[in-house]
Amino acid sequence: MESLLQFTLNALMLGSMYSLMAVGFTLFFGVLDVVNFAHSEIFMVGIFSALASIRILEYLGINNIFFLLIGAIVCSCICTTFINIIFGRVTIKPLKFSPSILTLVATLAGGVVLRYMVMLFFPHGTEAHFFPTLLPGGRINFGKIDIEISVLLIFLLSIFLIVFLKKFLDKTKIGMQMRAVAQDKETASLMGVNVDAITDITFFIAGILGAIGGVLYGSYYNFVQYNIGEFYGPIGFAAAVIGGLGNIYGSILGGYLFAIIVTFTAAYLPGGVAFKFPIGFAALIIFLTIKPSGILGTDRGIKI
Amino acid sequence: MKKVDNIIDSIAVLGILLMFYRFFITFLQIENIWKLSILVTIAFLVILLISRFENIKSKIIMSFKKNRSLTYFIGLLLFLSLPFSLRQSSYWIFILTICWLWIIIAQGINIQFGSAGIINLGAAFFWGIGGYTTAILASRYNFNPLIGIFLGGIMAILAGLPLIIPILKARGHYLALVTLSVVVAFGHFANNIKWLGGSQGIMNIPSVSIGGYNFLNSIKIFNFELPPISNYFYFATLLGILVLFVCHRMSNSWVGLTLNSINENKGDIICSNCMGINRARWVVISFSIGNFFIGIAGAFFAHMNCYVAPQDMTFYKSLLYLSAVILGGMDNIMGVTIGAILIVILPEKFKVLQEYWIIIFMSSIVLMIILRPQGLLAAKIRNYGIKRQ
Repeated sequence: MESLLQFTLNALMLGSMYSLMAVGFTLFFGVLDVVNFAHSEIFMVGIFSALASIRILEYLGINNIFFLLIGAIVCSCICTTFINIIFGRVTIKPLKFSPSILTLVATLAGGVVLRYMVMLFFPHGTEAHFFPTLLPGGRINFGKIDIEISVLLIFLLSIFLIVFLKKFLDKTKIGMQMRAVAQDKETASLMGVNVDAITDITFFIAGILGAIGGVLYGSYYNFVQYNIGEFYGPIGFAAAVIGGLGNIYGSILGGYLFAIIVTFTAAYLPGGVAFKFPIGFAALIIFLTIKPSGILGTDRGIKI
Repeated sequence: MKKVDNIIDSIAVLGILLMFYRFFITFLQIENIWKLSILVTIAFLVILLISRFENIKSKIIMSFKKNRSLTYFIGLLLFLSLPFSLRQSSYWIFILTICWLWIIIAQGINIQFGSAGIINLGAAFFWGIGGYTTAILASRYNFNPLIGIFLGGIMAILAGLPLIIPILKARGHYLALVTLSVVVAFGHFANNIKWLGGSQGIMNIPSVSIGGYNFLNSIKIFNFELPPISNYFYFATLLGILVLFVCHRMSNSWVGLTLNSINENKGDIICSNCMGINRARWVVISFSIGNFFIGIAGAFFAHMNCYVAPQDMTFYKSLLYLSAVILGGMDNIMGVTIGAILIVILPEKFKVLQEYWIIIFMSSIVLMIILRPQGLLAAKIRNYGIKRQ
């Protein structure tokens, strides 16, 4: 019983990370109708820019954890959004009218460029780096269960971010414009929506998501390496598809579902560590076969 | 007079081919980066100069067209004599063999992605399936490596078959995800399963031997002694020419036309369905043929290198294979071949650049997609029904 609870908590933790990643993929698909495979690399850029800002702040003599956290988030947001907007202008904007497959390959290639840029230009980029714990430690006791405060914080923060994003897309004027661009670029531009500006705003939001997700990731796992994007990209994309590409709440569902599948396979299947990702991705393929639009997605495919 | 013209044409063809051969050898052998760049610049300038003068250019092209069989014959002969010229450095013969393997893989992906429009981001998976199959069969069950290589291709087809249903159901982005998830999952799987050797992979795979002749022996012809790797070079040349021939015949026949018609980026799926083309059948056929090619290339590599390891089966590798097709030109066999050769040889030549090479290369892929989405050589327009002049 105790171990079951522990595994559930682990799954919650992993799921928060996966859904933060998935929401980026789903945002690009829902707004620009493209798959931006470099989003996981933007996540990685977020972590490394946070790390750099922390090192600078520590060098300046600031050791208060709260200030470090705020400083890391702010610096990382500025840096990551800047890089992300440039990335979007280079790879996605010129390809507005190309087949979707080519856009996908372009973002993949661009992502590899980002990854190796970090590896080459960050000091000692090839090694794993230590990332200080920024979230408050300690545990809360609920009867029998012990929960780490940091896990709870990450869980709440990721849910809050995603719900906030959904509300932003639904209620504000910019959000409405973004949804209009997603449905039909030409008609939207006829209605006075600046499609290029909306593209930039999408990359801006995705940059903020990547930066905050990166800071949370770093301060929980305490170590980062340049190649984590390669690992998290397919997982985030898979989670987004399971939940339903284009549906913001679907990414929460998909992220937690994928995390639960992976964690429980590793825990309860004999020799499960080898099978955890094969089974996770097998679930994805089954989903693609039965319901390609995902759990919450609406079917907008063509049938012949 | 005509006879004299013909002889002059043949001599011109011979001379140009020999010059190209000499240039290629020099290009491979020069180590110094500055000398290399001077050589490349000179070659580039010569090509530019020739293409400036319409008169000379059309004459050269005409003489190549007239002496087609001579060109092929001499070209093949020169190619087969490459190991003689490079016998001091077996490394380059090895790289040229790898070139052939990449050409085979790129042709496989071209049938899937270029012709039929099924994106395959899991080429490394099928490559790995081929390699592991022959590794297990040859090192544990004493299969003949030749049979192992063939079975590697067959296993790659079988491994691809379960993916057919999701591939038929999914379109566009979802399609990319199907093959991508397979390669990521297999990487984790092979890393953690003891039967497949874990992260070490399977080592000590026996090398190929035909009728008692082991490929580890060095070839002795007259006074020349060729390094053992040239065995594999000749074998790969044979395989590669076979694959190129099959691909050429396929893409210039009704099969290629059918495959193009079910391509969602090129043809019109609804239209091809109305014409009575069974999309499912042709997706299965093109996907399987492509996987077969990739599988035999993987199995061949396993025997040549004597080991397989999961490090070669990453998503990044698949992306590289795919970019060979995009760089060279989708649905153009010549273009894809050139793309594969460039991707293998250039990083070896520019080793000084180390990891910067990856950044330069991937940026150039992005630039290529933006500026010239059809690749170096664009796909030819079919002219069925129009009489050639």
